[in-house]
Amino acid sequence: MRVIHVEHLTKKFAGITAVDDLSFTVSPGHVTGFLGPNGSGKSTTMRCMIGLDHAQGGSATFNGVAYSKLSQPLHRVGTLLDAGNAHSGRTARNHLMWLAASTGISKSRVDAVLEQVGLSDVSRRRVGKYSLGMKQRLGIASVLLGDPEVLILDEPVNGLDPEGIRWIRDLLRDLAKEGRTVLVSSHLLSEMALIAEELVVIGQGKLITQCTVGEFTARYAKQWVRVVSPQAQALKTLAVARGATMSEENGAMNFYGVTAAELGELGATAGVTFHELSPQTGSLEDAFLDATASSVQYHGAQSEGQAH
Amino acid sequence: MLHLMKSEFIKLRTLRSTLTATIVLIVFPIAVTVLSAMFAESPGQTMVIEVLTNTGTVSMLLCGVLGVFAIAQEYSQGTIRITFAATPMRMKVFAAKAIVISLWVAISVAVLEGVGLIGANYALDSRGFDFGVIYNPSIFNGSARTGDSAWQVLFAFGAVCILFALVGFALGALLRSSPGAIATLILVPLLVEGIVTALLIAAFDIDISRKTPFTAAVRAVQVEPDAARWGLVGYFAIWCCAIAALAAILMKRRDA
Repeated sequence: MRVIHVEHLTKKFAGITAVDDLSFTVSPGHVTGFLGPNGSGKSTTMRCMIGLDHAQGGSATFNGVAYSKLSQPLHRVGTLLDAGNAHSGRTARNHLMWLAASTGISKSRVDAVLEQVGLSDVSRRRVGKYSLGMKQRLGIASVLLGDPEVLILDEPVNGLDPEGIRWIRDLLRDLAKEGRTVLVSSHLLSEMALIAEELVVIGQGKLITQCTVGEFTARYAKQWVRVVSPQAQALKTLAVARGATMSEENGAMNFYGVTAAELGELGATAGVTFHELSPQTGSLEDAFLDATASSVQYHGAQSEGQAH
Repeated sequence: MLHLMKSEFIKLRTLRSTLTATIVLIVFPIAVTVLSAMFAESPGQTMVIEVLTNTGTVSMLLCGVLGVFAIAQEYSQGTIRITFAATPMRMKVFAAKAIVISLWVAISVAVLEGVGLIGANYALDSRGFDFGVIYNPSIFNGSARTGDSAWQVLFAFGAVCILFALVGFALGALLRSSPGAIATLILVPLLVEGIVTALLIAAFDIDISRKTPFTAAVRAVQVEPDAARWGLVGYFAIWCCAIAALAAILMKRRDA
C-alpha cells in the first residue's frame, strides 16, 4: 500500500502537454519533495495521481492499485491539493464532519484531528473567517482524518507562520518516521531542504531527476573553495596555471575548478599562509535553479546584479 | 451509500444558503395561503389548493435553486475535489446527491402542504367555513373534468418540486456555476420557452406550447389541468432525466 509508482503519466490540456511521460517512485519512511518551477506540472501530476484529472496515458498506483480502485481511499491516501478547497460559509468542524461521514469516520476522530492541528478553539468558526495558515491547518486535518498510510500534499506550508512551518515540518517527518509515504510539493526550497530526504524534480512536465537531497545538490549546485590569505595573489597565479577560475568576495577569494586539498598543497609548496581554506557548496535553491534553468516557463525580469 | 447520503445531508444542513432557501420555499406559500383563507370573500378547499400551488411556483423555482446549490457550490468552492478524492466512484456521489436533495425537497414540500392546509383549515374554521375532506373528489369542485381529488394536485405539486430540484441539480452539474445554473433555471421557464414558442409560431406556424417541458410542469399542478395531470408530470420527468443523464456522463468524464 505504501509505495507510489507513477509510470509514463501523460496529461494534455487542449493540445498542451502539462505532464509528459513522467515516471517516478515514492517510497515510505522518509519525506519525498516534489520540486519544479511554476507551471511545471506538479499539481496536475498530483490531481492525475488521485483521479481528479484524467490522464491521457500512463498510470499512478499505490502499491499496485490505482486510486480509483482503492476501497475507502481516505484511509489509504490523504491528499491536500489546495487549502482553499473548503466552503467559506461552513464551519471547520462541519467541513470535517461531512468528509468523515462519507466514509463512516467517527465524530471523535474529527475532534481529535482538530486538536492535533490546533484548531479546536476555532472549529465552530466559518472557514471564510480563517487566515490562509488556518486553512492550511484545516487541510492537514482533512488529510489526517482517515489516518492514511500515504500523504500527498501540494504546497502545505503556504501561508503558515514560522511556528506553523516548524509544526508541519515536524509533523511530516514524524509521519514519515512511522513508516508512512509522504510526497510534498513546495516552492520554498530552503524549507524542502529541511523536510525532504529525497527529491523528485520536474520541469515542463518531464522528470529532471529523482535522487536524495545530497545527491541533487552535489550534482547540480556549484562547488568552490573559499580562501582568505595574505598571499592570495601568489595562490591565484598557481591556481590559474592549474586551470582554476576565481572571483573576489569581501576580501576572500573563491576558487572554482579546484579542490580544497589541491589548493592546500599548492599553497604549501609556495609557502602561502591560509587564514581560511573551506570547500563551499551552493544551496538547494541554486541547485534547483541550475537543474530547471531550461524548463522555466515564466521568467521575471532580471535585475542587473542577477544578470551577471 | 448510506455514508455518502449522510455526508450530503450534512453538506446541505450546514450552509445558510440552503437553509434560507428552504425556509422561504416553505414559509411563503403557507403565509399566502393562510392569509387568503383568513380574508378571502368566498373561501373553500379549491381556493386554498389553488393559492397553495400557484404561490408554490416560487417554491418550485427555489427547489431548483436548492438543486443547483447541492452541486454547483461544490465546484465554485473547490470542495468537489475533496468529495471525489474521498469517493472516486463519481456516479455514487451523483446518485447520493440526487437522492438526498430529492428527500430534502420532498420533506420540505410535505411540511409546506401540511402546515399550509392545517393553517388554512384553522382559518376557515374560525370564520365558520367548512374545509371539507381533502381526499374526496366530490368536495374538490375544481376537479369536475379530471375527477382528481385535492390529494392528486398536492402529490403532483410535490413530484414537480422534486423534479425541479433534480433539474436544478443537473444544470448545476453541467454548468458548474451557481449563477449560470440559476439563471438558466429561471429564464427557461419564465422567458425562453415563451419566446421560442412565439418565434416558431410566427416563423413556421409551428405551435410547441403544449410540448415545452417547464410549461408542462406548471400545467401539471393546476387544479384543472388542460391535459392528463400525470402525463404532464411524466413528460417533465423525461426531460429532467435526459438532462440528468447528460450531467452524470459529463461529471464522470470531465476533470474535477
